[in-house]
Amino acid sequence: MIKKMVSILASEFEVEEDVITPEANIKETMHLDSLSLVDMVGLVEEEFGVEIKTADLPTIKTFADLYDYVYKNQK
Amino acid sequence: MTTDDITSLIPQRPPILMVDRFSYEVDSLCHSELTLKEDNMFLHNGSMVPEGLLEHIAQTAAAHIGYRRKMAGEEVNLGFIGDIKRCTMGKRMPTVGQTVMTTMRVVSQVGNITMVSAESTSNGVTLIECRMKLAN
Amino acid sequence: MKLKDSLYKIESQHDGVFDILMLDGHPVYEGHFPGEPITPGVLSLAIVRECASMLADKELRYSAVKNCRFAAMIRPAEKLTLTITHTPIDDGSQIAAEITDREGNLRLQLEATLTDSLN
Repeated sequence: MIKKMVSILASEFEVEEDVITPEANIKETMHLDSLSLVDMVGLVEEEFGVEIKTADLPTIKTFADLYDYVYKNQK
Repeated sequence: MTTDDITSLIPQRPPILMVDRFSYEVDSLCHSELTLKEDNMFLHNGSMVPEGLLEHIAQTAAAHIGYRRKMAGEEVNLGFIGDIKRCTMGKRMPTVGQTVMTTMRVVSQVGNITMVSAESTSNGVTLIECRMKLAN
Repeated sequence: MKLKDSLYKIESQHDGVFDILMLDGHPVYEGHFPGEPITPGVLSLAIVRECASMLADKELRYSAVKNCRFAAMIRPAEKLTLTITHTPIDDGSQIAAEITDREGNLRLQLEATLTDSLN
């Protein structure tokens, strides 16, 4: 799942795969603003079959947080 | 839920009211219609410019958001297009008297930003497809 | 629908750079929104299209929008700078455009395709 996630995010947000490390901050690493954040949420939801609730987003700061969230919430 | 009273769901008013009929299906899906009248501001030489279809789609999304806000006991508020992506227009634009029919799906939502995917057709011909983000 | 000289004025232009003055009083502001005049995003797109048509010296309409970002609102009476880069293609133009205000703040960023096949 992690390999696929890294590949998809790197491609969509035009960053090198090797900057996507577990402890890296998602917004800073991929230069996300409020609009592109919605693109990321939509992409992860579609590709991995999860629903990311707005209320849970503040807890998803690093890529490790994202992987944990997807593991726990995959349908 | 289907309504002709679109002004209860969105803040836009003439001359830029671009939805005649709106149907809320579920949280993530809705439909809308617009019949092109002679006084539509987006007409050029008898047919609508694509910007008019984009405004129709934006107001469809606004109606969807407005309906959800009202269901939650909130007031309808101003909304704005945040971005438009993956948008392609068909070869022929609709003309006066034609009815545009739109299906809109909510792709994702984060706080006050909603990303939708929409397709508009008329007489079975696709006029426009796009993804759009609305901020309200 | 022609917006030049009713929604906006071109104060000067050179090499694809247009100095734009947004006018007030266009009827669209009565409905967008009542009591709070804000230029509809799609009309900013129309302004870009009209100016791109001038550069291409033919009437064009949108056939595709790859990416259009509305970074901040545009209002009547504002002075803006529109920069268009256009590449002629078979039946129209591929354009990249930016609208900024006089402080350099981004208002709109666009990559789109325009066609000269109108119906």
